[in-house]
Amino acid sequence: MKTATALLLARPASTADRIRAWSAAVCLGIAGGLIMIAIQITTCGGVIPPTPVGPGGPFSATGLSPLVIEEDINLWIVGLTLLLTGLVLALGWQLLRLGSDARERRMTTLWLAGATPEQTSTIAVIDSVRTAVLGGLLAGPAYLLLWVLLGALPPAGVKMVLAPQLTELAPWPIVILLTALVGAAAGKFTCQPVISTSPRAGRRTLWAGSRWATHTAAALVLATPAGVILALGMIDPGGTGVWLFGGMLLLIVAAPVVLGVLAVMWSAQRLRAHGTPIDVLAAAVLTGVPGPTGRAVGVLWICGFGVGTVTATGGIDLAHRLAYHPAEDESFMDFFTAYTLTLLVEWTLVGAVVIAATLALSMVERLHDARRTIASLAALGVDAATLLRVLRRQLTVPSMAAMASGTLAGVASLSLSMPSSNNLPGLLDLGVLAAVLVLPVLFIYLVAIVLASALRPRLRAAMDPENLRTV
Amino acid sequence: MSDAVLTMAGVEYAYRRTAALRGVSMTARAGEIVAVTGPSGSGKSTLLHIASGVLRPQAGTVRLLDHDLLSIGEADRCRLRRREVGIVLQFGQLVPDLPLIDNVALPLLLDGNDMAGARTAAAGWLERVQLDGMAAVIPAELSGGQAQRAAVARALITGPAVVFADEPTGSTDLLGGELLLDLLIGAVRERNAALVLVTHDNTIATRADREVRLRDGLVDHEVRLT
Amino acid sequence: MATSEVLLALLGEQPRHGYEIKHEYDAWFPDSKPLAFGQVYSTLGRLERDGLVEVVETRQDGAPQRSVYALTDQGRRHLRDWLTKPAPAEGTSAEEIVRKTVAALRTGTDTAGFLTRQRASHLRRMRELQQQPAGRDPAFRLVRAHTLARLDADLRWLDLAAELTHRAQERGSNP
Repeated sequence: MKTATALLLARPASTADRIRAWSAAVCLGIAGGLIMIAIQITTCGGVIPPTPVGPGGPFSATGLSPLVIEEDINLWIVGLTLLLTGLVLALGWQLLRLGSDARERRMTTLWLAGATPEQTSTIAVIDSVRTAVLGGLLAGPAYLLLWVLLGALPPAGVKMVLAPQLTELAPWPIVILLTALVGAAAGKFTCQPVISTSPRAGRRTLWAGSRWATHTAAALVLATPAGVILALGMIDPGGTGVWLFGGMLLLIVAAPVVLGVLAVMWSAQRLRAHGTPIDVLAAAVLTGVPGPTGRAVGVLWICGFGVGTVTATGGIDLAHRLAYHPAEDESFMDFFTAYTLTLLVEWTLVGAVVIAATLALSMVERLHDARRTIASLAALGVDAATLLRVLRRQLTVPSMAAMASGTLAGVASLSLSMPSSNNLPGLLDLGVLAAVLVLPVLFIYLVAIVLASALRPRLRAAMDPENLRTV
Repeated sequence: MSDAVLTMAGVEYAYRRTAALRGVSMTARAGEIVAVTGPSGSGKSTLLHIASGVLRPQAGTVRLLDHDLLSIGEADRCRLRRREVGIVLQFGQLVPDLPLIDNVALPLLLDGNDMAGARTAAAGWLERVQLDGMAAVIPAELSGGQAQRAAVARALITGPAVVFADEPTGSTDLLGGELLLDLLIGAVRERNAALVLVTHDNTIATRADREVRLRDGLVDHEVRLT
Repeated sequence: MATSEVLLALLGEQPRHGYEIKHEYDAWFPDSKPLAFGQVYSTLGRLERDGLVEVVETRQDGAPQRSVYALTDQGRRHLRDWLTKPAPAEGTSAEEIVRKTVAALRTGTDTAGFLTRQRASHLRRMRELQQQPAGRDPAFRLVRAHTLARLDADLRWLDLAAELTHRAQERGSNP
């Protein structure tokens, strides 16, 4: 197959495909920019020795936030940045992987025309690598934009990064290469042609045949080192940064893939046991393809972790500050201001965006993967409103559980690992904690409602009896 | 006596627990038109998919143009399907958002031919199936009959020695179906290729040289029509 | 209405007298007009004259005389030929095919084989007609189309008959 042919066949032709490709590129670009930011932040830590706390606060001439200057907190910040990178990457991966009908049919028709598996693979890979490299190229501008957001706009004392120098753009080509690899992997895993001459010969999912045992085992295998590392981090404050680092990286890998699937399967069982027809339907669609939902749920857990970590302590400190007005030096206020402005706003906002986007993508993916089930249900007389409720239920139950547990874990691990906050939680603290737990969960519920109505046209498309037709 | 281009012996295939074919044997010779008929559920489409290499049987042998379909690799089967075998299905065959000319030229493109040459050949075939002037149209804008004619053009563009057609007139009207069959049979006769035609329509079956009638996954009988 | 062969088939099961023949015939073809006695006896007379049936006994149980008819060897051969050879597709009324099939089923002859042969005959005739060009004259094209449509209808019926016969055989019963 000539290159020109491969390029011709890999071009996304429908508008939906093009939007999807661009969104994935933007996600990858942002992720790339974040990686470069993280590298920059790392270089900031410890280079400038922490100035003693004085009336002017721990300002340095650079105007960097003390969070970035102090070494162990610096690593924590970098860790959180990488966490966010992981989240955005997961979004990008989901977008790359999102099987639109056109893409699936395209692969099948190519295969029918005589394309060998290598050829369909090549075409799919070219398609995603093209998108990914575009994302990599966008990483540079994204890095500059992030610098503006984190370094230029924030006032002195709150800045997260220094002005970019040319040398800092050095990682850019590596980022492009990395995104290309991510794209290639995504393409390779999503090019299966679907050929079925009977409605029952459906597509085999990655987890076909594997059930509780396999998933639990995989979860233990991946989560145990992560848990051990985190525990070590809590016990040994000296080496906190490194341990947390490693633990967090493992979390990024483990949670989406395995824990999420487990959570989905658990919630499916609970739904089935509930008894309401809607819940049973939700369970049926959930157990069909647990993979993508599981991934989304894992992402939400990490989100919860990040949100919990950041908002809990910030919230507690804020509450203490407001309530007790301690006769402390302004350094605390400055510290707190830096904290709220940089982390609270950034992370919560970004977290909210990521949550919403993840949920949206999950729903879209669900509508695509389960379209045959939905079409059969529609043919049996289930109306759109009920189906929407089913979809929402499917998404909210595992998501809220993931968010809540992730937030709890975030709060717990941060409080335990930060030696400074070692006062016992008072009523105010618990009140703040409760708010921190409830608000994200509520947020998810509201987002799910909004999404459900926004995705109504897609639901109608999934209900079309054309979906029951096989090749 | 021309050589057999297709030999199937004792072919079995089951979907999960339902047996679609329970031991079917059949041959087709060069230049011969064979109609495979039978009530719905008798296994006709499955037979065609196995004969053309799209599905693998669970038992039995399939020899297509001197290749043992079960022992060659997936890549070779695909190449075979591209060069020497043409397939026309009832629907869902054209690449959805590729213009018609590229759709018809697809087998040539996949084989490594250059774009210009492939498109020229495709244009010639589009004219032959009375779709000239629709080179830039995408399949979604075509009627059933037009899409089928394009599928026939694509099946024939590489000059195959065997053509498989599964209810090719399924999405066409009566007169459109006649035109389609005339084109298909004409092209096949021209190059002394074999044509295996699955149909439930007797008026189409009578255009074949031989009828193989299936029932319940087995060959019930054969009727020689010439 | 050529009922001679059907009467032969009726006698093929067992020897019967005229009254029985008429009732059996009506049972075989419940949707048709009942067979008139007069036709039964005139047909029987013709068959006897041709040597295909013979009177085997004459019952006399107080009621008027009833002759019992049976097939001769020649009659048996004639019946077998009729049930084996397919009816010519052209110029045959649809009822002839139905009669043959019913007769074959009732007398336990190889129905599946007969249906296969009849199908083949129809297919070949259809093919012959399709190969001859119908030309441009719309009237002739219409006549041709109608002939083909009828042949197609017969073929579809034959397919159905084959299907039902097959299923009945599988169940091990005889309709």
